[in-house]
Amino acid sequence: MTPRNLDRQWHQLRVQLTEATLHKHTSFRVNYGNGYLAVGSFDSVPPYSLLNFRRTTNSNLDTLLDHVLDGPTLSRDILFDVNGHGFIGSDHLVKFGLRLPSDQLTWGKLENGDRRSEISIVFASYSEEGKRLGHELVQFEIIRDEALLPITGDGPFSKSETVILPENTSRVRVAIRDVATGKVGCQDFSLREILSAPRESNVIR
Amino acid sequence: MEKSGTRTDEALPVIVLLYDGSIDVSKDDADLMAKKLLYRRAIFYQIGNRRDEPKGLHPEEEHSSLQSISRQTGGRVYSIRREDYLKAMNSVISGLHFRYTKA
Repeated sequence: MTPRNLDRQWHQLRVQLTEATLHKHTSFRVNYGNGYLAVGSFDSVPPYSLLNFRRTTNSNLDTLLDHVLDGPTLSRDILFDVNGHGFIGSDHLVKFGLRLPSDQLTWGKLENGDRRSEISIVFASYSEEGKRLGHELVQFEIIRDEALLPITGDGPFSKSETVILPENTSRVRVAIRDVATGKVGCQDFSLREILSAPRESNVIR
Repeated sequence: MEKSGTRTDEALPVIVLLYDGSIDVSKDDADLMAKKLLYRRAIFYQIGNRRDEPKGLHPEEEHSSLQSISRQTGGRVYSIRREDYLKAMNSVISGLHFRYTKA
């Protein structure tokens, strides 16, 4: 069953038996879950959803991000989990899964009571010599549905992104910035480390 | 809908509560608990001892609220005598065989 209304709300379900079924069986029991959340409509794991998603390749970065990406030390003002893996048949296509605890971000309050935060994520690729070869910049707003919080719990915000790495990439730096405060957290991966993880099937849709 | 017999990568949780006594749950708490379980695709079964005289301040309401968690998640409540625990567990397992999930 595909829910018709992808409105990110809780929906009640009711099962009704047909007349034919009622006539066919003299005794029966029907057990069913009587509600659902259409999780596919969130673009993330509820209670989080995304707004104004933008993604650019090799766009101009501000001075702060440039400094963070090319600096020798890793900024750790934002703590997050990230892991990467490749795809079968490709050494340049990589998928990163990010998990960001909600207390690492700044949340503003919306009129309807929900919370909003805005982040930027950069996936920067480097050569063996440490030269930056390119980067992907992903920017979006995160909305946290406060009414759903009692049901879903306040788990970390999750997002996965697939990036194409340039030729000769040796290392990837993943940086997350909380736009409200400018705080940044970074983690580095060697491409060898990423490609040695179990790979995903490369499905073309 | 997806039949439970087909192979899926995700394990679907089942909670079986074995209890002997009264559990204090308000209707609001029960409704919220049912939604939490449904969100995690969990089914909630209860197996309790049959009592001739219910205890507690509001035994009927407690009983009803507990039952509603199971009913809302697609589970069942078994009120049995001690010797029937195995039969109840087998009935739970049998119910899981016909489990369907939303795609």
